[in-house]
Amino acid sequence: MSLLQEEQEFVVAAELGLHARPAGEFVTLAGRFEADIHVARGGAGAEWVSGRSVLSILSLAASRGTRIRIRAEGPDAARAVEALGRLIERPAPTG
Amino acid sequence: MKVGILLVSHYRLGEEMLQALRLIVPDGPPFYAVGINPEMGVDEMRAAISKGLDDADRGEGVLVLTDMFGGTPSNISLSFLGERRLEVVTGLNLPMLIKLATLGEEQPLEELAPFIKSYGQRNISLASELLPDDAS
Repeated sequence: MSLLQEEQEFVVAAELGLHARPAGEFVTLAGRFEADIHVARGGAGAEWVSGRSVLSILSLAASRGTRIRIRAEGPDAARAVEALGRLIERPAPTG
Repeated sequence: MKVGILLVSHYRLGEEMLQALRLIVPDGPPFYAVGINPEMGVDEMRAAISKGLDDADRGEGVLVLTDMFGGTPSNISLSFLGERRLEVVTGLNLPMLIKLATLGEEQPLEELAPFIKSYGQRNISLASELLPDDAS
């Protein structure tokens, strides 16, 4: 199994930003992929945090319009980044 | 998660925290809550916590999270030490619950308890020290 890496930047679309509930959704979704997932604010020198920790994602303090980088390493990296990016760019949480 | 989780608090604090947890982590493992109020007698409190421990226990012991060291919910919980396999961590907060609900790997009760104590302490923040300069 080859180790693939994928990294892309997305813009937070939801009015309330990346708050607790979507952060929980992000971690749940990230857990469905084999790839190792990390997240950082966009821009140089940003600190990468685990995509599997709700509190780490909340520590990014991402409000609407914040650029978020998602990096995945693993066999399903491309699918993981695509799915997680859709969640970041979703205007409002579902349900 | 094989270690059982039981919240023991004043009034419905624990139950309400579980409701907030379920909003953020809807499909986490089952946690249990017991509320203690001043109308209850000591025997009644012990019976309620004992039932909570039975509900939460899946054979690997129970991690009891209480709202404050020295409070009655904590003190009565502590009276079960030695009788049953449990650890009591006091001063519970939502970050601790989220971490417990999303833990990927199993840890025995005796390792989980000190881990979650320091995790709860680490996640008390002064927001102005934490926010990046460009966050608004």
